[in-house]
Amino acid sequence: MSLSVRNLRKSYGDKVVVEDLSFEMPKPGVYAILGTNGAGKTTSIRMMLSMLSRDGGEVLWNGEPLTTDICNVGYLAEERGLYPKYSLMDQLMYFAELRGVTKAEARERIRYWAERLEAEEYLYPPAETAPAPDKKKRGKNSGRKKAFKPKLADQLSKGNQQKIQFMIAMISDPELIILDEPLSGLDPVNTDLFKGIIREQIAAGKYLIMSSHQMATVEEFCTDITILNRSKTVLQGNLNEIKKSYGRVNLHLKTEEDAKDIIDRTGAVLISEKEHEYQIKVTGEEQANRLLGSLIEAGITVVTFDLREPSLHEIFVEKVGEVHE
Amino acid sequence: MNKKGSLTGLGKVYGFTLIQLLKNKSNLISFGIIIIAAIAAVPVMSAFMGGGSAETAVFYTDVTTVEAFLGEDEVGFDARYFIQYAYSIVVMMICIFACTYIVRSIIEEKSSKLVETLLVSIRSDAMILGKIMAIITFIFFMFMLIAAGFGLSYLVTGMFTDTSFIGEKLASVGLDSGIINIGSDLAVVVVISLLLACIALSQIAALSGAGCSSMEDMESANMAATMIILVCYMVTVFITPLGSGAAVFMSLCPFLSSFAAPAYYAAGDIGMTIMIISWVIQIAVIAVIHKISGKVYDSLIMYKGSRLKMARILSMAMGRKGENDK
Repeated sequence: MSLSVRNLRKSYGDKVVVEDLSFEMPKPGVYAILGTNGAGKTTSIRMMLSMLSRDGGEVLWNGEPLTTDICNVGYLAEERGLYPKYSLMDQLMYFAELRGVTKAEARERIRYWAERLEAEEYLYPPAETAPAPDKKKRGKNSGRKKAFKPKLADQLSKGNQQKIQFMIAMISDPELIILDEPLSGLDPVNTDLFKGIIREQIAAGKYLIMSSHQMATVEEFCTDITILNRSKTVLQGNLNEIKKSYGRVNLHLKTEEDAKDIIDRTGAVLISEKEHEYQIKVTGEEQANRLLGSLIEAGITVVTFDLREPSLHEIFVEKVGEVHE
Repeated sequence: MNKKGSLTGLGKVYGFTLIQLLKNKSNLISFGIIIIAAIAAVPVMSAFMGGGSAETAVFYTDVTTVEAFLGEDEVGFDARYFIQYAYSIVVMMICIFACTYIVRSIIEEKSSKLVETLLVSIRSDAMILGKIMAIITFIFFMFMLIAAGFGLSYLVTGMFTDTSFIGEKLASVGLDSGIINIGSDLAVVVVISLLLACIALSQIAALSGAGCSSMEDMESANMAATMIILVCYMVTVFITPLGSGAAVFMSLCPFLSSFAAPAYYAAGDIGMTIMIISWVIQIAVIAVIHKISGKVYDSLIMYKGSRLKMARILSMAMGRKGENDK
């Protein structure tokens, strides 16, 4: 199976919002579409899913135009929402049916995802019997379990609503999963929960497309990226290769004594300093080694010497900054 | 994201929307009150009008008999006015209910922010059509219950007290089954005409609703369909009682025909042939509106911003682009 996005274009009047976006996913993995606000990420995703008409280009799944008839797609939209006044179970069953999942299968999957996302209490009655009612209030129904009143969406917190929406995206057990800002608005506990599920989906051989502003998250999961800026692709490719192409230029140095003068003498650029802990930009390994030699020669005790490739955040800022200049 | 032209999922939207309408307590309470009022109508009328009206009824019946004797067996102004007025009110109520529900349902759908998730599985026109069908079914079901409640009340009240005064009152305004075409065919004509009126006006309401993004716009969105309903109501109530002169024109004119044709049919001014032609024209109009709507639903359903006026929506449908749907 493979996903191929070719030359997607979209304009509103004279304003171009997506200009020739192309990328390939020849094998399962995670592809990230990154970009500044208004760069065209969500519009691109909407075009891929045929929610928006395209001015040009095509999206192919195994060489055929992508539709739900040939590809089981799960989509978590950037805008979170649920029907506020309908029961959560009704909503989940509705979306499952729309995706062609049988009722019995849907019930099983809802149960699975409710457990997995720790959302059972909003969907199912508590296992234990409700406390006995007051003697005064006891009527002919006394002794029975208290009737379970299903939760409505507007009774849930934002994070819990997001869990239900994630369940909707996953209810059909999709092979292509598109997640638009999947972790935004989640607390650290739920962020870890979602990350765990994303890892499971990757391990299960799913195709994931992720759009996010959280660069650390993208770095954690994605193998390939496209960075969009003002509708144009400014950087594209395998994340590791992109990083390698930049070389190891980030140096994290920690010393026992002050090393500022030596850093300055080697020509490296000091980015920040805090209690003999330095973030330095070097031109490459040669300059870093020279700095290390100078430090040892000067008798300075080196506690940490960590030379790294630039982070995705830095690459993103640099690429977007280049275009702005 | 389904294949182009596919209405896959329409049935699911229909089922879900209908069930949610039936589960909605405020809907059930509102219609419950109307049904109770319909059930109570006959006993109340009987209590206040039944006992002392016999002489009056006989007097009016005599007048009608004199008219019949003179050969004036055409439907008179009073009878025409009564038929048209009563029928137009029913059409207006059903259509206004349906349009209001549809506008609300579509704006709720948009404001729920679930539209994007839905559009993965279903096309926008199928989604909206499913909603329209479900709401029309709900409204018809409720009005059937109201009619059934009234009928049941009439039968049950008749077992305990004299309800003939209702027939006499109707006869007094010239509503005589000898002159008026009252039969099962009229029932079919009324139901089909009501259904077509509802579908056509609901499509306009849906189009208008799809151009809104927040519940605050609901009243303005309702205006387009409501204005058409009110104009049709006023025109038919004022013109139809004047005579059969405009019968064919009024019966064939789109939108107006749903309000006027069944009344003309009941009065014997038009036959089944004109009625069928009237339906064909209405179906054609519905198809045109559906076609126009289908062109813009994708853009409208994703649109966020201030309410788009109907003229703007129509210009989009005619191919004049430029609407930013982001």
